[in-house]
Amino acid sequence: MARVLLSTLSTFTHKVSPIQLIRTSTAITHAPRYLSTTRGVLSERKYTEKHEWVAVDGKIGTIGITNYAQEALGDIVYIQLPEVGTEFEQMEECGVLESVKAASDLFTPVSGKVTEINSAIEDRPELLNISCYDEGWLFKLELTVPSELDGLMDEAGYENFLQENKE
Amino acid sequence: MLSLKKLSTNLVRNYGPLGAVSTSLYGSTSQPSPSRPRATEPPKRVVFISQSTDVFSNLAFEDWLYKNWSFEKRSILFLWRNSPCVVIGRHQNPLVEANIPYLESAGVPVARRGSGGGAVYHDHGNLNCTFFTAKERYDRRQNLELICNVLNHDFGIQARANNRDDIVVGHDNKVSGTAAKLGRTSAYHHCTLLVRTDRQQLRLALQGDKTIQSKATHSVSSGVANLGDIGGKDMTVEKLLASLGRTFLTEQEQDPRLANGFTLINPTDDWFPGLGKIEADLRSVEWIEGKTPRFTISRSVSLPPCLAGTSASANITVQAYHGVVEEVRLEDGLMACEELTDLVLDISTSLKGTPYTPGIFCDISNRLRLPQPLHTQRSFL
Repeated sequence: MARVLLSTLSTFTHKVSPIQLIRTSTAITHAPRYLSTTRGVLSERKYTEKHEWVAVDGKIGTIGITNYAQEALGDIVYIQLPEVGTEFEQMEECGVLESVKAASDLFTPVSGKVTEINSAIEDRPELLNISCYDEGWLFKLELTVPSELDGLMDEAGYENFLQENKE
Repeated sequence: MLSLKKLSTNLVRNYGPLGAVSTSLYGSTSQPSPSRPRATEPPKRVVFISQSTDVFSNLAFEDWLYKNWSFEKRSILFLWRNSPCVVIGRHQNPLVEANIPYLESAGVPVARRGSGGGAVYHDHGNLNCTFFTAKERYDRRQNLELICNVLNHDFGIQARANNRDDIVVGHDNKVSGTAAKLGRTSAYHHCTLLVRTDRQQLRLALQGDKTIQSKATHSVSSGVANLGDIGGKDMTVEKLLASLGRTFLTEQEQDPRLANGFTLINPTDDWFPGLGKIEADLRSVEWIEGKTPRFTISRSVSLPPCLAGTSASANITVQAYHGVVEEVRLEDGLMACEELTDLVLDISTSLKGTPYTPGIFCDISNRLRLPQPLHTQRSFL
């Protein structure tokens, strides 16, 4: 808990002046309020049962697939990402991931309008296998129905889900 | 030409009710109604046989089933044949994989399927098999083993699946190629089986332009063989079709009466609402050419005397994405005169956004010859 508070404080210190810092430190006693305002900065990942993840930062969600999914697919040889500007509904088909001879449909975990795609991954599809949570992000979209996030699993929930389905 | 009605009567005669065709289309023998399956029972197996030899209708039916049916309680084997055509994978470049000018002149269509993998040539001597299952039950090796068992037991052909999921005979001669499509809840695995395909046509059809640079998935070419050459003249597509269907149905069932028999399919919109739209999409330029990954193609274009500097030709590269020109650029631009560089820039601007066609280099060559007359025209005005 203390570590979390400290990291929250350091995030604040990058952006505030010394006077604001004094105000901040005296307000640390109201820790829950500050934790909730910094949630956007921490951009916690949410997961679907079909092994897609979304990390939200303000109104923009970054979409990717989990380690379980990339392992199951095998070596990725081609990625077809959606076009920037296209709008999708939750669970709608938005792209294709091709691994050896198998084309897997990609579904978006949340509704939104595509704002950016990861062009690095178009040239190097192997990034998805190597770094599926970081460099292997697929695309970003502007969320149109943010409440959909409540229906998704958090990291602990997803870990549980994987354990349960192993048996 | 396959006569499906004849096939169905042959099936009844040779294989009894199990191999019988039963659909409302023919109003023939009706199957005994199956007992209600318990939840833990393996899925019922059903065999569909297409009445069409049109590649677009058949691919559309595959897609229709994949999108509209649930395979929790049923596994399907769909058997189909096409008139001569080339089918490329989801992310391939038709120009790289097929000899487009030759196929156009011969009236042979090129289709793009939804699954991955490489390019294949189909004709009446080739049998296609599609295995539909729930996603959790997707298992390519299991399907390929079933096929190899049929070839071994019923036709005495020693076939095996290699590590690329190709079925090979003898010294790695390929008789079957595999591809698959995976969705949220359903999946399908399909493969070809060369029985009496025209291998010369196959070779000619699949000779694409290998100078094209692209990130598209490439085919891995291999020597092919016809099962009919190995299995003797008794080996026909019809016999293989019947054997595969029968083995698929009886492999797991303890009680053969639970199997639903063969069902003939007429892949049209009347029977499968929505199929017409899928078929139209599969025939469209947006799908066949529009799904082509980014590629660049370079050619040497001869220059008119007024533009030729140290060289009488220039290397021009055209870059296209999803079948549309993105850029036209000059390689070795430092060697070129300013007029040529400017002209190529103009050409790039005017061609950007237009559909890529193989005739584009002819077009570029013509445009490069225009400057002289245009300049004199402008000076008049």
